[in-house]
Amino acid sequence: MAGATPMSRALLLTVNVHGVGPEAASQPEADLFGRDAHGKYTYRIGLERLLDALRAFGLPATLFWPSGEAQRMPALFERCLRDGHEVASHGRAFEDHATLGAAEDAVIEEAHHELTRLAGSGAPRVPFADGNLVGAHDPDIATPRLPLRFQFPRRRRTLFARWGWRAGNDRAAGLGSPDRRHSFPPPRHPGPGGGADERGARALLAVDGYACLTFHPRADIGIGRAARLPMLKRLSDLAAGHGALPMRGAALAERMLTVILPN
Amino acid sequence: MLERHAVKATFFCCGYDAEHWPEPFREIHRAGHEIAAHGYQHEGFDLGEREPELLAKTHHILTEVVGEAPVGWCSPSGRKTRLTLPTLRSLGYRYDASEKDEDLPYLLDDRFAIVPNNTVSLDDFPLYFSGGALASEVERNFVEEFDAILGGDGYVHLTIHPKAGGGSGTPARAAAVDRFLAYAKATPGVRFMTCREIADHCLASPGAWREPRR
Repeated sequence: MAGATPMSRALLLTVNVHGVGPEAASQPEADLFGRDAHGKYTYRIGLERLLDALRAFGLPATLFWPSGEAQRMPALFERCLRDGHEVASHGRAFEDHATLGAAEDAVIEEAHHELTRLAGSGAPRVPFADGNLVGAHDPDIATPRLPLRFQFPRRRRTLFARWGWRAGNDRAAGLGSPDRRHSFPPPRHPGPGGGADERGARALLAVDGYACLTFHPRADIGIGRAARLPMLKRLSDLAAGHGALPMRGAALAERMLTVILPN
Repeated sequence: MLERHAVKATFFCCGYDAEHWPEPFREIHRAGHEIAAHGYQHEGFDLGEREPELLAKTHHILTEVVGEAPVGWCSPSGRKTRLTLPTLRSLGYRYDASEKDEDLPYLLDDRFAIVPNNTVSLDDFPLYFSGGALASEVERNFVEEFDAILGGDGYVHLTIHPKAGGGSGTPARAAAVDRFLAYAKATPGVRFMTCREIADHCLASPGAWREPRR
Protein backbone atom coordinates (compact mmCIF):
# COMPACT_ATOMS: atom_id res chain seq x y z
CA MET A 1 0.00 0.00 0.00
CA ALA A 2 2.99 2.24 -0.65
CA GLY A 3 2.08 5.70 -1.77
CA ALA A 4 -1.28 5.39 -0.10
CA THR A 5 -3.53 8.38 -0.16
CA PRO A 6 -5.13 9.46 3.08
CA MET A 7 -8.40 7.92 1.91
CA SER A 8 -6.77 4.52 1.58
CA ARG A 9 -5.03 4.48 4.94
CA ALA A 10 -6.08 1.65 7.17
CA LEU A 11 -5.57 0.25 10.61
CA LEU A 12 -6.20 -3.44 11.01
CA LEU A 13 -6.88 -4.53 14.58
CA THR A 14 -6.50 -8.25 14.93
CA VAL A 15 -6.81 -10.52 17.93
CA ASN A 16 -5.25 -13.95 18.06
CA VAL A 17 -7.48 -15.84 20.44
CA HIS A 18 -4.97 -17.59 22.63
CA GLY A 19 -6.63 -19.49 25.41
CA VAL A 20 -4.27 -22.24 26.32
CA GLY A 21 -2.16 -20.97 23.45
CA PRO A 22 0.32 -22.50 21.02
CA GLU A 23 2.48 -23.74 23.86
CA ALA A 24 0.03 -26.61 24.30
CA ALA A 25 1.06 -27.94 20.91
CA SER A 26 4.39 -29.00 22.38
CA GLN A 27 3.75 -29.72 26.05
CA PRO A 28 0.94 -31.12 28.17
CA GLU A 29 -1.77 -28.59 28.77
CA ALA A 30 -1.93 -29.40 32.48
CA ASP A 31 1.68 -28.24 32.85
CA LEU A 32 0.79 -24.81 31.52
CA PHE A 33 -2.03 -23.87 33.83
CA GLY A 34 -0.96 -22.07 36.93
CA ARG A 35 2.35 -21.09 35.43
CA ASP A 36 2.22 -18.31 32.89
CA ALA A 37 -1.33 -17.30 33.67
CA HIS A 38 -2.28 -17.48 30.05
CA GLY A 39 -4.67 -20.37 29.77
CA LYS A 40 -7.54 -20.00 32.15
CA TYR A 41 -7.05 -16.26 32.41
CA THR A 42 -8.28 -15.83 28.84
CA TYR A 43 -11.23 -18.08 29.52
CA ARG A 44 -12.16 -16.48 32.83
CA ILE A 45 -11.60 -12.79 32.14
CA GLY A 46 -9.02 -11.92 29.47
CA LEU A 47 -11.10 -12.19 26.31
CA GLU A 48 -14.21 -10.73 27.89
CA ARG A 49 -12.18 -7.75 29.07
CA LEU A 50 -10.70 -7.23 25.61
CA LEU A 51 -14.14 -7.41 24.00
CA ASP A 52 -15.42 -4.92 26.58
CA ALA A 53 -12.59 -2.56 25.66
CA LEU A 54 -13.20 -2.88 21.91
CA ARG A 55 -16.86 -2.11 22.54
CA ALA A 56 -16.08 0.82 24.84
CA PHE A 57 -13.64 2.32 22.34
CA GLY A 58 -15.90 1.63 19.36
CA LEU A 59 -13.24 -0.38 17.55
CA PRO A 60 -14.09 -3.13 15.05
CA ALA A 61 -11.59 -5.96 15.01
CA THR A 62 -10.80 -9.22 13.28
CA LEU A 63 -10.54 -12.10 15.73
CA PHE A 64 -8.56 -15.11 14.60
CA TRP A 65 -10.14 -18.09 16.29
CA PRO A 66 -8.61 -21.54 16.48
CA SER A 67 -11.65 -23.78 16.23
CA GLY A 68 -10.61 -25.55 19.42
CA GLU A 69 -10.72 -22.31 21.37
CA ALA A 70 -14.11 -21.45 19.89
CA GLN A 71 -15.39 -24.79 21.16
CA ARG A 72 -14.15 -23.94 24.63
CA MET A 73 -15.61 -20.44 24.68
CA PRO A 74 -18.90 -20.66 22.76
CA ALA A 75 -20.48 -17.76 24.64
CA LEU A 76 -17.57 -15.45 23.92
CA PHE A 77 -17.46 -16.65 20.32
CA GLU A 78 -21.12 -15.69 19.95
CA ARG A 79 -20.53 -12.36 21.63
CA CYS A 80 -17.70 -11.67 19.21
CA LEU A 81 -20.18 -12.03 16.35
CA ARG A 82 -22.89 -10.06 18.12
CA ASP A 83 -20.47 -7.21 18.73
CA GLY A 84 -19.88 -6.97 15.01
CA HIS A 85 -16.33 -8.24 14.90
CA GLU A 86 -15.07 -10.40 12.11
CA VAL A 87 -14.44 -14.02 12.94
CA ALA A 88 -11.51 -15.43 11.03
CA SER A 89 -9.88 -18.81 11.14
CA HIS A 90 -6.71 -19.50 13.04
CA GLY A 91 -6.48 -23.21 12.41
CA ARG A 92 -7.63 -25.92 14.75
CA ALA A 93 -5.25 -25.91 17.71
CA PHE A 94 -2.17 -23.85 16.88
CA GLU A 95 -0.76 -26.31 14.42
CA ASP A 96 2.50 -25.43 12.74
CA HIS A 97 1.38 -25.36 9.14
CA ALA A 98 4.90 -25.58 7.88
CA THR A 99 5.11 -29.12 9.23
CA LEU A 100 1.66 -30.45 8.38
CA GLY A 101 2.47 -31.57 4.88
CA ALA A 102 -0.38 -33.44 3.24
CA ALA A 103 -2.53 -33.06 6.35
CA GLU A 104 -2.74 -29.32 5.99
CA ASP A 105 -5.84 -29.28 3.79
CA ALA A 106 -7.77 -31.36 6.26
CA VAL A 107 -6.80 -29.19 9.22
CA ILE A 108 -7.83 -26.00 7.49
CA GLU A 109 -11.09 -27.48 6.27
CA GLU A 110 -11.95 -28.92 9.65
CA ALA A 111 -11.33 -25.59 11.38
CA HIS A 112 -13.34 -23.77 8.75
CA HIS A 113 -16.32 -26.06 9.03
CA GLU A 114 -16.29 -26.05 12.82
CA LEU A 115 -16.22 -22.26 12.96
CA THR A 116 -19.04 -22.16 10.42
CA ARG A 117 -21.06 -24.59 12.51
CA LEU A 118 -20.47 -22.59 15.70
CA ALA A 119 -21.38 -19.35 13.98
CA GLY A 120 -24.74 -20.86 13.05
CA SER A 121 -26.95 -20.20 10.09
CA GLY A 122 -28.44 -17.10 11.64
CA ALA A 123 -25.11 -15.48 12.24
CA PRO A 124 -23.64 -12.85 9.98
CA ARG A 125 -21.77 -14.20 7.01
CA VAL A 126 -18.33 -15.02 8.22
CA PRO A 127 -15.58 -14.29 5.74
CA PHE A 128 -13.00 -16.60 7.19
CA ALA A 129 -9.41 -15.90 6.75
CA ASP A 130 -6.40 -17.66 8.06
CA GLY A 131 -3.71 -16.02 10.07
CA ASN A 132 -1.49 -19.03 10.36
CA LEU A 133 -0.30 -19.20 6.82
CA VAL A 134 2.67 -16.98 6.46
CA GLY A 135 6.07 -16.77 4.88
CA ALA A 136 6.90 -19.54 2.49
CA HIS A 137 3.40 -20.96 2.41
CA ASP A 138 1.45 -20.64 -0.75
CA PRO A 139 -2.20 -20.11 0.12
CA ASP A 140 -3.31 -21.44 -3.24
CA ILE A 141 -1.95 -24.83 -2.33
CA ALA A 142 -3.66 -25.06 0.98
CA THR A 143 -7.07 -23.59 0.46
CA PRO A 144 -8.45 -24.18 -3.00
CA ARG A 145 -11.82 -25.52 -1.86
CA LEU A 146 -12.65 -22.89 0.72
CA PRO A 147 -13.86 -19.33 0.26
CA LEU A 148 -10.82 -17.85 1.94
CA ARG A 149 -10.24 -14.37 0.71
CA PHE A 150 -7.16 -13.09 2.42
CA GLN A 151 -4.10 -13.72 4.47
CA PHE A 152 -2.01 -11.24 6.31
CA PRO A 153 1.67 -10.75 5.62
CA ARG A 154 2.33 -10.73 9.33
CA ARG A 155 6.05 -10.94 9.35
CA ARG A 156 6.62 -7.97 7.15
CA ARG A 157 4.05 -5.47 8.18
CA THR A 158 2.39 -6.57 11.34
CA LEU A 159 3.07 -4.90 14.60
CA PHE A 160 2.81 -7.27 17.48
CA ALA A 161 1.44 -5.03 20.13
CA ARG A 162 2.38 -7.30 22.95
CA TRP A 163 3.35 -6.32 26.38
CA GLY A 164 7.08 -6.16 26.60
CA TRP A 165 7.53 -6.19 22.86
CA ARG A 166 10.96 -5.19 21.78
CA ALA A 167 12.61 -5.13 18.41
CA GLY A 168 13.67 -8.64 17.48
CA ASN A 169 11.72 -10.17 20.30
CA ASP A 170 8.68 -11.91 18.95
CA ARG A 171 6.13 -12.93 21.55
CA ALA A 172 8.36 -13.39 24.58
CA ALA A 173 11.88 -14.13 25.56
CA GLY A 174 12.70 -17.73 26.26
CA LEU A 175 9.78 -19.53 24.67
CA GLY A 176 11.97 -22.51 24.12
CA SER A 177 13.33 -22.51 27.63
CA PRO A 178 12.90 -25.76 29.57
CA ASP A 179 11.26 -23.82 32.37
CA ARG A 180 9.07 -21.14 30.88
CA ARG A 181 7.66 -20.20 34.23
CA HIS A 182 9.35 -16.85 34.42
CA SER A 183 10.22 -16.20 30.83
CA PHE A 184 8.75 -12.74 30.60
CA PRO A 185 10.39 -9.71 29.12
CA PRO A 186 10.43 -6.67 31.34
CA PRO A 187 7.82 -3.98 31.01
CA ARG A 188 8.72 -1.29 28.58
CA HIS A 189 7.21 2.08 29.14
CA PRO A 190 6.88 4.74 26.51
CA GLY A 191 9.72 7.20 26.48
CA PRO A 192 9.56 10.71 25.08
CA GLY A 193 9.08 9.34 21.55
CA GLY A 194 6.51 6.78 22.63
CA GLY A 195 6.92 3.05 23.15
CA ALA A 196 8.24 0.63 20.57
CA ASP A 197 4.71 -0.08 19.39
CA GLU A 198 3.96 3.59 18.96
CA ARG A 199 7.17 4.32 17.12
CA GLY A 200 6.60 1.31 14.88
CA ALA A 201 3.03 2.25 14.13
CA ARG A 202 3.97 5.83 13.39
CA ALA A 203 6.69 4.73 10.98
CA LEU A 204 4.49 2.19 9.20
CA LEU A 205 1.62 4.59 8.80
CA ALA A 206 3.90 7.25 7.41
CA VAL A 207 5.44 4.92 4.84
CA ASP A 208 2.74 2.42 3.97
CA GLY A 209 -0.43 4.04 5.25
CA TYR A 210 -1.25 0.70 6.82
CA ALA A 211 -0.58 -0.91 10.14
CA CYS A 212 -1.79 -4.24 11.47
CA LEU A 213 -1.88 -4.45 15.24
CA THR A 214 -2.15 -7.88 16.76
CA PHE A 215 -3.37 -8.35 20.31
CA HIS A 216 -3.75 -11.35 22.54
CA PRO A 217 -6.25 -11.72 25.39
CA ARG A 218 -3.81 -13.55 27.63
CA ALA A 219 -2.38 -12.30 30.88
CA ASP A 220 1.29 -13.00 30.34
CA ILE A 221 2.20 -11.88 26.85
CA GLY A 222 -1.05 -10.27 25.90
CA ILE A 223 -3.18 -7.29 26.64
CA GLY A 224 -5.57 -9.00 29.05
CA ARG A 225 -4.44 -7.18 32.18
CA ALA A 226 -6.31 -4.03 33.08
CA ALA A 227 -3.15 -1.91 33.02
CA ARG A 228 -2.44 -2.84 29.41
CA LEU A 229 -5.75 -2.10 27.76
CA PRO A 230 -5.11 1.63 27.41
CA MET A 231 -2.52 0.63 24.79
CA LEU A 232 -5.41 -0.29 22.50
CA LYS A 233 -6.88 3.19 22.65
CA ARG A 234 -3.53 4.92 22.49
CA LEU A 235 -2.49 3.12 19.31
CA SER A 236 -5.84 3.43 17.58
CA ASP A 237 -5.87 7.15 18.38
CA LEU A 238 -2.37 7.43 16.98
CA ALA A 239 -3.48 5.72 13.77
CA ALA A 240 -6.52 7.96 13.51
CA GLY A 241 -4.19 10.92 13.80
CA HIS A 242 -2.46 9.61 10.67
CA GLY A 243 -5.76 9.22 8.87
CA ALA A 244 -5.92 5.44 9.31
CA LEU A 245 -9.26 4.23 10.61
CA PRO A 246 -9.86 0.69 11.84
CA MET A 247 -11.10 -1.82 9.29
CA ARG A 248 -11.91 -5.48 9.48
CA GLY A 249 -9.64 -7.79 7.54
CA ALA A 250 -12.32 -8.88 5.09
CA ALA A 251 -13.20 -5.29 4.23
CA LEU A 252 -9.59 -4.43 3.68
CA ALA A 253 -9.12 -7.49 1.50
CA GLU A 254 -12.17 -6.58 -0.54
CA ARG A 255 -10.83 -3.10 -1.05
CA MET A 256 -7.55 -4.50 -2.24
CA LEU A 257 -9.23 -6.99 -4.55
CA THR A 258 -11.77 -4.63 -6.06
CA VAL A 259 -10.16 -1.21 -5.93
CA ILE A 260 -6.43 -1.37 -5.59
CA LEU A 261 -5.44 -4.45 -7.58
CA PRO A 262 -7.54 -3.71 -10.69
CA ASN A 263 -5.80 -0.37 -10.91
CA MET B 1 10.16 -1.06 55.68
CA LEU B 2 6.95 -2.93 56.41
CA GLU B 3 7.10 -1.81 60.01
CA ARG B 4 7.68 1.78 58.98
CA HIS B 5 4.65 1.67 56.72
CA ALA B 6 2.65 -0.30 59.32
CA VAL B 7 1.84 -2.91 56.70
CA LYS B 8 1.24 -6.56 57.52
CA ALA B 9 2.24 -8.99 54.80
CA THR B 10 2.03 -12.70 54.04
CA PHE B 11 5.40 -14.46 53.98
CA PHE B 12 5.39 -17.67 51.96
CA CYS B 13 8.12 -19.72 53.60
CA CYS B 14 9.97 -22.90 52.68
CA GLY B 15 10.09 -25.62 55.33
CA TYR B 16 13.80 -26.24 54.85
CA ASP B 17 14.68 -22.62 55.58
CA ALA B 18 12.57 -22.48 58.71
CA GLU B 19 13.96 -25.81 59.86
CA HIS B 20 17.57 -24.66 59.61
CA TRP B 21 17.27 -20.94 60.38
CA PRO B 22 14.15 -20.64 62.53
CA GLU B 23 14.79 -17.32 64.20
CA PRO B 24 14.04 -14.98 61.26
CA PHE B 25 10.70 -16.74 60.80
CA ARG B 26 9.85 -16.29 64.47
CA GLU B 27 10.70 -12.60 64.16
CA ILE B 28 8.46 -12.25 61.14
CA HIS B 29 5.64 -13.94 62.99
CA ARG B 30 6.18 -11.86 66.14
CA ALA B 31 5.95 -8.74 63.99
CA GLY B 32 2.40 -9.74 63.12
CA HIS B 33 2.92 -10.99 59.60
CA GLU B 34 1.33 -14.13 58.29
CA ILE B 35 3.49 -17.22 57.84
CA ALA B 36 2.28 -19.41 54.97
CA ALA B 37 3.75 -22.45 53.22
CA HIS B 38 5.84 -22.39 50.06
CA GLY B 39 7.18 -25.93 49.68
CA TYR B 40 9.98 -27.63 51.54
CA GLN B 41 12.84 -26.64 49.24
CA HIS B 42 10.87 -24.58 46.76
CA GLU B 43 10.00 -27.68 44.77
CA GLY B 44 8.55 -26.70 41.46
CA PHE B 45 7.86 -29.94 39.70
CA ASP B 46 5.77 -33.02 40.00
CA LEU B 47 6.83 -34.83 43.15
CA GLY B 48 4.68 -37.88 42.55
CA GLU B 49 3.57 -39.78 45.61
CA ARG B 50 6.03 -37.86 47.81
CA GLU B 51 4.06 -34.65 47.52
CA PRO B 52 1.72 -35.17 50.52
CA GLU B 53 4.69 -36.11 52.67
CA LEU B 54 6.57 -32.92 51.81
CA LEU B 55 3.49 -30.74 52.22
CA ALA B 56 2.92 -32.20 55.67
CA LYS B 57 6.60 -31.91 56.59
CA THR B 58 6.70 -28.21 55.79
CA HIS B 59 3.39 -27.69 57.53
CA HIS B 60 4.65 -29.25 60.75
CA ILE B 61 7.99 -27.40 60.63
CA LEU B 62 6.33 -24.01 60.21
CA THR B 63 3.79 -24.81 62.92
CA GLU B 64 6.52 -25.81 65.35
CA VAL B 65 8.81 -22.88 64.56
CA VAL B 66 6.29 -20.07 64.89
CA GLY B 67 3.72 -21.75 67.13
CA GLU B 68 0.84 -21.30 64.73
CA ALA B 69 -0.29 -23.53 61.89
CA PRO B 70 -0.24 -22.00 58.41
CA VAL B 71 -3.57 -21.88 56.60
CA GLY B 72 -2.28 -20.73 53.22
CA TRP B 73 -0.03 -22.19 50.56
CA CYS B 74 1.54 -20.97 47.37
CA SER B 75 3.08 -23.38 44.90
CA PRO B 76 6.67 -22.39 44.12
CA SER B 77 6.08 -23.03 40.43
CA GLY B 78 2.37 -22.42 40.25
CA ARG B 79 1.81 -26.08 39.52
CA LYS B 80 -0.42 -28.45 41.39
CA THR B 81 -1.37 -32.09 41.10
CA ARG B 82 -4.43 -34.11 41.95
CA LEU B 83 -2.87 -34.67 45.37
CA THR B 84 -2.17 -31.05 46.28
CA LEU B 85 -5.48 -29.56 47.31
CA PRO B 86 -6.83 -32.68 49.08
CA THR B 87 -3.64 -32.80 51.14
CA LEU B 88 -3.79 -29.11 51.99
CA ARG B 89 -7.43 -29.41 53.00
CA SER B 90 -6.67 -32.37 55.23
CA LEU B 91 -4.00 -30.27 56.94
CA GLY B 92 -6.50 -27.50 57.62
CA TYR B 93 -5.52 -25.02 54.90
CA ARG B 94 -8.13 -22.47 53.90
CA TYR B 95 -6.60 -20.97 50.77
CA ASP B 96 -4.27 -21.54 47.84
CA ALA B 97 -2.38 -18.56 46.42
CA SER B 98 -0.89 -20.35 43.41
CA GLU B 99 -3.36 -19.61 40.66
CA LYS B 100 -2.87 -16.88 38.08
CA ASP B 101 -6.13 -17.33 36.24
CA GLU B 102 -8.03 -14.38 37.68
CA ASP B 103 -7.47 -10.97 39.16
CA LEU B 104 -10.03 -11.42 41.92
CA PRO B 105 -10.08 -14.00 44.69
CA TYR B 106 -12.78 -16.64 44.43
CA LEU B 107 -13.96 -19.76 46.24
CA LEU B 108 -13.68 -23.36 45.16
CA ASP B 109 -16.36 -24.15 47.71
CA ASP B 110 -17.57 -22.80 51.03
CA ARG B 111 -14.41 -23.94 52.80
CA PHE B 112 -11.57 -23.12 50.44
CA ALA B 113 -10.48 -19.92 48.72
CA ILE B 114 -8.26 -19.18 45.73
CA VAL B 115 -6.21 -16.03 46.17
CA PRO B 116 -4.63 -15.52 42.74
CA ASN B 117 -1.28 -13.82 42.32
CA ASN B 118 0.04 -11.93 39.35
CA THR B 119 3.43 -13.37 38.46
CA VAL B 120 3.33 -11.58 35.16
CA SER B 121 3.47 -7.97 36.19
CA LEU B 122 3.10 -7.65 39.95
CA ASP B 123 5.99 -9.87 40.98
CA ASP B 124 9.55 -8.60 41.12
CA PHE B 125 11.23 -11.93 40.34
CA PRO B 126 10.50 -12.32 36.62
CA LEU B 127 10.88 -8.63 35.98
CA TYR B 128 14.38 -8.52 37.41
CA PHE B 129 15.60 -12.06 36.84
CA SER B 130 14.35 -12.85 33.34
CA GLY B 131 13.52 -9.38 32.18
CA GLY B 132 16.55 -7.45 33.33
CA ALA B 133 14.37 -4.48 34.20
CA LEU B 134 15.63 -1.47 36.06
CA ALA B 135 14.26 -0.62 39.49
CA SER B 136 12.72 2.53 38.08
CA GLU B 137 10.91 0.52 35.41
CA VAL B 138 9.59 -1.95 37.93
CA GLU B 139 8.41 0.82 40.22
CA ARG B 140 6.63 2.56 37.38
CA ASN B 141 5.06 -0.72 36.33
CA PHE B 142 3.80 -1.37 39.86
CA VAL B 143 2.24 2.08 40.00
CA GLU B 144 0.67 1.66 36.56
CA GLU B 145 -0.81 -1.69 37.54
CA PHE B 146 -2.02 -0.30 40.85
CA ASP B 147 -3.74 2.67 39.23
CA ALA B 148 -5.39 0.55 36.54
CA ILE B 149 -6.60 -2.08 39.00
CA LEU B 150 -7.93 0.57 41.34
CA GLY B 151 -10.12 1.81 38.51
CA GLY B 152 -11.49 -1.70 37.97
CA ASP B 153 -11.35 -4.74 40.21
CA GLY B 154 -9.79 -2.89 43.13
CA TYR B 155 -7.67 -5.81 44.30
CA VAL B 156 -3.88 -5.69 44.00
CA HIS B 157 -1.73 -8.68 44.89
CA LEU B 158 1.94 -7.69 44.89
CA THR B 159 4.68 -10.28 45.36
CA ILE B 160 8.14 -9.25 46.52
CA HIS B 161 11.23 -11.40 47.01
CA PRO B 162 13.96 -10.32 49.46
CA LYS B 163 16.82 -11.72 47.37
CA ALA B 164 19.32 -9.70 45.40
CA GLY B 165 19.27 -11.39 42.00
CA GLY B 166 15.60 -11.95 41.31
CA GLY B 167 14.16 -9.76 44.00
CA SER B 168 14.04 -6.40 45.68
CA GLY B 169 16.70 -6.91 48.32
CA THR B 170 19.26 -4.48 46.96
CA PRO B 171 19.06 -0.81 48.02
CA ALA B 172 17.74 0.67 44.79
CA ARG B 173 15.13 -2.03 44.39
CA ALA B 174 14.07 -1.89 48.04
CA ALA B 175 13.70 1.86 47.65
CA ALA B 176 11.41 1.26 44.68
CA VAL B 177 9.18 -0.97 46.79
CA ASP B 178 9.34 1.58 49.60
CA ARG B 179 8.10 4.34 47.30
CA PHE B 180 5.38 2.10 45.91
CA LEU B 181 4.12 1.28 49.40
CA ALA B 182 4.09 4.97 50.26
CA TYR B 183 2.15 5.67 47.06
CA ALA B 184 -0.38 2.95 47.78
CA LYS B 185 -0.76 4.00 51.41
CA ALA B 186 -1.41 7.58 50.39
CA THR B 187 -4.24 6.52 48.08
CA PRO B 188 -7.61 7.07 49.74
CA GLY B 189 -9.63 3.96 50.46
CA VAL B 190 -6.74 1.52 50.13
CA ARG B 191 -6.45 -1.13 52.80
CA PHE B 192 -3.57 -3.57 53.22
CA MET B 193 -4.54 -7.14 54.06
CA THR B 194 -2.77 -10.46 54.38
CA CYS B 195 -3.77 -13.38 52.19
CA ARG B 196 -5.37 -15.05 55.18
CA GLU B 197 -7.51 -11.98 55.82
CA ILE B 198 -8.55 -11.88 52.17
CA ALA B 199 -9.41 -15.58 52.18
CA ASP B 200 -11.40 -15.29 55.40
CA HIS B 201 -13.19 -12.22 54.06
CA CYS B 202 -14.31 -14.22 51.02
CA LEU B 203 -15.17 -17.33 53.01
CA ALA B 204 -17.40 -15.24 55.27
CA SER B 205 -19.58 -14.36 52.25
CA PRO B 206 -19.47 -17.42 50.02
CA GLY B 207 -22.41 -16.36 47.89
CA ALA B 208 -20.54 -13.30 46.74
CA TRP B 209 -17.19 -14.95 46.09
CA ARG B 210 -17.90 -18.26 44.40
CA GLU B 211 -18.15 -16.42 41.09
CA PRO B 212 -17.20 -12.83 41.93
CA ARG B 213 -17.90 -11.55 38.41
CA ARG B 214 -21.34 -13.08 38.06
